[in-house]
Amino acid sequence: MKRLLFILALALTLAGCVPSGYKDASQTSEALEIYPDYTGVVVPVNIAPMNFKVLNQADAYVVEITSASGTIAVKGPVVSVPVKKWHAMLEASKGGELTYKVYVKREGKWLCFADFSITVAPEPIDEYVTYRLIEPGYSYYGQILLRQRHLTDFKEADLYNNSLISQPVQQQCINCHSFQNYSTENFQFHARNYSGGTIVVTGDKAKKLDFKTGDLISNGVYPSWHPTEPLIAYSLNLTQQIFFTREHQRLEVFDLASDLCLYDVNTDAVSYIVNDSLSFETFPYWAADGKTLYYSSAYLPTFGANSATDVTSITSDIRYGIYAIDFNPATRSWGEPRVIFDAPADSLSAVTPRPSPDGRYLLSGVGEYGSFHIWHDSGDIYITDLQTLETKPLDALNTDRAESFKSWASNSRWIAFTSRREDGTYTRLYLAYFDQQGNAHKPFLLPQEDPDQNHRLFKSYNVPEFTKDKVRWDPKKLETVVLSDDPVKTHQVAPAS
Amino acid sequence: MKFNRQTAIFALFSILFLWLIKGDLLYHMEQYSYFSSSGDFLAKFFEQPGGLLALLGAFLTQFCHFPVLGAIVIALSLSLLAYLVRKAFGLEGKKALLALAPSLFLLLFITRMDYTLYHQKTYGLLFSQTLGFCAAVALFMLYRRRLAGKKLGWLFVVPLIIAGYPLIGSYAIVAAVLVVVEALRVKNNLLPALASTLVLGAAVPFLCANLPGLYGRMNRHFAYFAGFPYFEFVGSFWGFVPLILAFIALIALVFADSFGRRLPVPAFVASALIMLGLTNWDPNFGAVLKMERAVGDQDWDKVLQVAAKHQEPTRAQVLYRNIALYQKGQLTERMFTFPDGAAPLKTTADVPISMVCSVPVEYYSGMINSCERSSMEFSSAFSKSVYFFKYQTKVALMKGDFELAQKYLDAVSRSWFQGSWLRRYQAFIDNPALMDSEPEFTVLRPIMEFSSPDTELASSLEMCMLHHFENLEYVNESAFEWQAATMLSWKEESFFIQLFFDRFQKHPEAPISKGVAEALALLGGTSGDYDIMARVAQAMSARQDVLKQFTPFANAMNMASNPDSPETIKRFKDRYGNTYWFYYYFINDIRTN
Repeated sequence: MKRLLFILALALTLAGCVPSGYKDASQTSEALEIYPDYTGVVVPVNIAPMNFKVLNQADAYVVEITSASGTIAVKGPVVSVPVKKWHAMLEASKGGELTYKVYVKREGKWLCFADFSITVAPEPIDEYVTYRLIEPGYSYYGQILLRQRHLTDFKEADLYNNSLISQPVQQQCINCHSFQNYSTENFQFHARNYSGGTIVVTGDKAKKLDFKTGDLISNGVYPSWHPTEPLIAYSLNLTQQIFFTREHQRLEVFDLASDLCLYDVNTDAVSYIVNDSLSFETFPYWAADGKTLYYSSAYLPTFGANSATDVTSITSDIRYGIYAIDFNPATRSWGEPRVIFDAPADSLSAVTPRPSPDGRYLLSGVGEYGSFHIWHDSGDIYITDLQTLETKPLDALNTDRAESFKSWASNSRWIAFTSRREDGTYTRLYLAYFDQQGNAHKPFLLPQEDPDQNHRLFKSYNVPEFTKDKVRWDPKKLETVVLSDDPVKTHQVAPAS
Repeated sequence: MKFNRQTAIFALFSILFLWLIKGDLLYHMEQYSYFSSSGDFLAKFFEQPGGLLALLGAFLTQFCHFPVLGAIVIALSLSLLAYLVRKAFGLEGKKALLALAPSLFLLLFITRMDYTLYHQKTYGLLFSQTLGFCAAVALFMLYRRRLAGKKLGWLFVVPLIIAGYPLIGSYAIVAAVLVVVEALRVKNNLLPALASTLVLGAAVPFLCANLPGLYGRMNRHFAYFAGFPYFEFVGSFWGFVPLILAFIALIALVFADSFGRRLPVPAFVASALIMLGLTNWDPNFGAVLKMERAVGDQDWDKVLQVAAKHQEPTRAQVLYRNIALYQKGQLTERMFTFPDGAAPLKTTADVPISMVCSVPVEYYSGMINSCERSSMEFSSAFSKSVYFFKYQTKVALMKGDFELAQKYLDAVSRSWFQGSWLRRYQAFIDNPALMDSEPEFTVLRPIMEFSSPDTELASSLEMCMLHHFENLEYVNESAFEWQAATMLSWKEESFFIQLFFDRFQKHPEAPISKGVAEALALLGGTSGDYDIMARVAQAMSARQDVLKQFTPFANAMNMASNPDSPETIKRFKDRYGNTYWFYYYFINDIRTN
């Protein structure tokens, strides 16, 4: 038995050994193909190992990674570096580069590809990102997961999942997680349908809200926590979807009406922020100073919420612009809306504004029309300089497939966004460096321990939100709140003048 | 391990029964299952207690790709159970026959399956329950042989439930119950065995479901059903009946020593009769599965053979028939020559027609986004399967999304025995130009040129199809076939007339199929509108044969004093059963969901 164990251990050790002889390789002009494409990207100093797979066919593979602390050789084709070793390399190369040299053996001869490098930015990224994992389906709910990923390694945990309570017939959707100011102390998410409600967590307390009250047209939908006050801005949306039977775009999601409201977490009071019957206002997001609320609005003078116009027939004519409205946290009073990016003037539609925490820039999702660009190949990310109000596409991040949700890290140097660039259907999470000069760099796919994980995963990444710390609530503890049959009722009040 | 003669005969019977009578069911189960050896796939099985059974079941289900092989593997698992029961309960001689009773009931669990399968969420149902019983009996045998009668033997239930529940779910509690019954039989340690089973049987599932950090995706409602097919059969008590019978049989077998010599044969016969009596013999269910398989193989003649056999078909059979006819270019020519109707699905569960057949029907009628949507919805809500991945691959190919097609095809490739299918579709991904000469795609492309309203708000499959094809504009012959077939199926005669005249105006030389001609004759003859009658007469100049047949039909209808009587219906069916006229007047109450 001992002998067997010894042989097994020896075999495993030899299997993990780097093959010899690769140093004598001759250079090849063949293009190197790796998945994910991490060539030339800029990564934060605290990111998880950027494991990848060499796609070029060969009999054996060796990859040398050179950092300021030295060179290591890793066996391929899956190039995987232990977390501890990786972080030592990144720390040593802060502000510098990691250089990769890929060797392959074919018919007994070693070949070497042209080097590529990864730049190590000195600015760290927030340690956690929370996202929803969901099949890109439409009406039925399977297993939906709110997951929190530790970005410095590969640990991932459920914040909440609907498997805890879904019944054979009664299914539950969960969505729209939102944190206050990059902290997991206060957060919220929605549960829909079975045992539905809005779950609001403040420190060690949690409550389930029955949101719809007064003349509000819906429950709270897209949320944004005020960075310092116990307030959440919500959009109220009457949302509908239509399906196309044969076109390349499969469906369209649109609003029949929408407004903005403010929810007071302490008093459960809800008041309108904007509810112009001639406009659809949606996707609120607070500036980091809490004195401005950005949002999207489509001005529809020929029909409003009270009109009998069939919105379904004119979805491709609905275009949103980005607006801002001032807010006084002391008096909780609002100023007048002002235009930030008049996208309809350019025959575009801009939604989901995301101001950078340093207040300098604003990201928005732009498409040819409508508000749900995840289903539009034309969906791109644009950036507005809030000092000059100049807006342009953020080309480094965009492809000819849909780019959609995005968020800033708390230091304004990193952007997380989702894109369907891989296959047009399954949204994946990308991270990109945004330097002090306002330039975005080539984005990289969220690193995974096994790079093929993305190929095997049949769920989409949704709504990436950075936090500095980990959620300390157990999903089962949240489940008891979700299952509560005595939700807190909100009450409507007039907005402060 | 040595099987006795009875077990061998039972195994042979099971193989033949499953292969010859339930072969299409086994194939369906394999297609609606999935297995991959990747770590993330395997890990999912351990999110719930009892996941090991589903995991083994998913692995073994792959063998059902060849129904005879699947039947052999199932028979082996049932025989293993019979062997374990015989050994555990010491059933020798004539009593050995009794060891087959639990296996018969587990065979029944498979043979009585009905349309509830279309919302199966748990993998491996063909095997998981048998394996659960095998595990429970093996654990009981271990106790009975090594620990029964010993002073602290009852303590066996402690590790049994604590370690067994995560692996085999509530089958660990089944084993513990057998230990308690054994203690009752021998009147030894009953109280501690009973108390520990009650306490642990209640506490372990409760703690697994409620303790933070343990089983973070476990639904506490079903903590005591772990390992059982609760998602499939909740609300459908009959699904559990075979398992309850098998459990009762095991309890009874604990007392086998006290059975009289005459009991085994009648008990075995009763078990066998129950098995045969409760088996699902619904011919339509069998036909649906057979057609589903033939559609998957694109064996259109076989689809039509099956369609011709069943006189009162479900809508699923009718729709499968239509896609087969369309593939053969005979949709409106022959659709009314087949039996038609809307027989309800025989099932206690709420299973809509859409869930049964929408994926292939939408694909082969050119509604490829709807097919993709149905595949995505069903595989999200229930479980990922080879079946859905295959259709998703095909849709992605049709749409030119080759990276996506490769992703789905790679998923199929992780399951065993899919080689020929993989080679066929990999070739299209590698060389899309091949699709231009492949009938599967070239037959569908013309319908995809068809411009429909861009909404799909109707809820059921056939209402979606009606909504899609209820377009009054003639586009091409392929689309016209579906437009006409759908409108005539739903007796939308005014729409059909407008569509036909649009076609006639654009292509007056286009041939008129039998079904279309019959519809024109009927609608022209009964419209009372002289303009329509004149235009129909002009269009029908090439189909005088149909007009000549219509006159005696119209006369017979006018003379029929009681058109609703069975005799009248039979008379008309005998004479006009293969015409649109019969369909129009006598096939009523077409309902779909």
